[in-house]
Amino acid sequence: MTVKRHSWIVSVAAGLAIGALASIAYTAAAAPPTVGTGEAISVCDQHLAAAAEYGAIASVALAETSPLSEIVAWQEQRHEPEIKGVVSPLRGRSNGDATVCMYRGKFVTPTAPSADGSRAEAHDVLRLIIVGDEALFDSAGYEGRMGPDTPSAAR
Amino acid sequence: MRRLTGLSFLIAIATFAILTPAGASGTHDGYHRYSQADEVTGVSFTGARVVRIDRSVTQVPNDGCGGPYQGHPTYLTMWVMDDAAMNWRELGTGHQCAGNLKYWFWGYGLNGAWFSVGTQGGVVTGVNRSFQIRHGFDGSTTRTYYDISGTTKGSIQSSRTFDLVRVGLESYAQGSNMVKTNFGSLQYQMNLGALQSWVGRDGRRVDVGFCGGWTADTTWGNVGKGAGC
Repeated sequence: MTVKRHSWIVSVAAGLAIGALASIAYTAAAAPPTVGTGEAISVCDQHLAAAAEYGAIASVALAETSPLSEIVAWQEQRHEPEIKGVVSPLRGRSNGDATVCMYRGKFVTPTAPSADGSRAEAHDVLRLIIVGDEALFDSAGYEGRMGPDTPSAAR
Repeated sequence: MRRLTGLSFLIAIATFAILTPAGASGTHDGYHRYSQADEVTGVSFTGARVVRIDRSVTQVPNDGCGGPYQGHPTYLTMWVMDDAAMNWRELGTGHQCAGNLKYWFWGYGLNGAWFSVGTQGGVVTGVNRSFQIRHGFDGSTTRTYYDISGTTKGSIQSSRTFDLVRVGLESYAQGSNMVKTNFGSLQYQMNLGALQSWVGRDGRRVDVGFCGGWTADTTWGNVGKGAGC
């Protein structure tokens, strides 16, 4: 009786261990890495629900905490000389830090289909600025074509 | 023994299913459709103008109530853009949150990405308005202006010219409806010049579940969605 119970316990434990290891291996292999510091990534993780309001969230792609003044400058100057005269919605806020979060997924932001209608894919990355408890929309587009992705990337 | 091996296998599968993330979660369910009309007469478009009613969109899911570009939006909009849809200027009206959030939005597209320049809520539906994107010289530089019924809502400094101008509906809300309406008095601006009427009936796209068709060279008419068609 004791041997039989022991076998059951071993079988259950083996199943749990194999399943957990398989899940860890699968998740590590499937999800692209998140770029950023642990603290910034944690901030972005805490706002996954807010990001999910813009579409379907898969993961955090990038997280960076910077002084607000640097984020304002980045938002206003990141596309110069093509685009100038942008006024950041963060301008005028009190000083402090904010976090730039980029999320992977499928989003419902405005797109423009190509002339022949062949390209009308939903955006696959969303960028929010987390200021305090607020999650503010910054932009949405396609991964790898949003640069400069953060204030530090623009320096 | 064989029974216990089978038990391990089942528990392993269940553990894997419970622990492994299911993938994307949120409001976007894959639905993304258009009804649109194009003017491709020139190669140096700098603006466009349309007169249309800000028609109500009904049967909109009750989500996306926190702000623009959320939930299951439907956009009545206009684009001044390049053929590849990589770069554009846009001015439109968004509908979300069971029809309770209606807002104007304006901004620009760069390398396929959307950068919102401004939004304004509290749009009253049923009103005929003009929407215009135009280039103008402010005395020192060329600016792109976003105007609604003659009032400038915002601007950026930009001198880029584009291949086509377009008006229409874009929707992420499969079950939503919009009663047919006209996108009329269609005009374009070229090289900062005076507005000119659209010529001919150039491009069109009407996805399943939408309606729309040319009723004049300057009217993309009977534009609607769902039961509204």
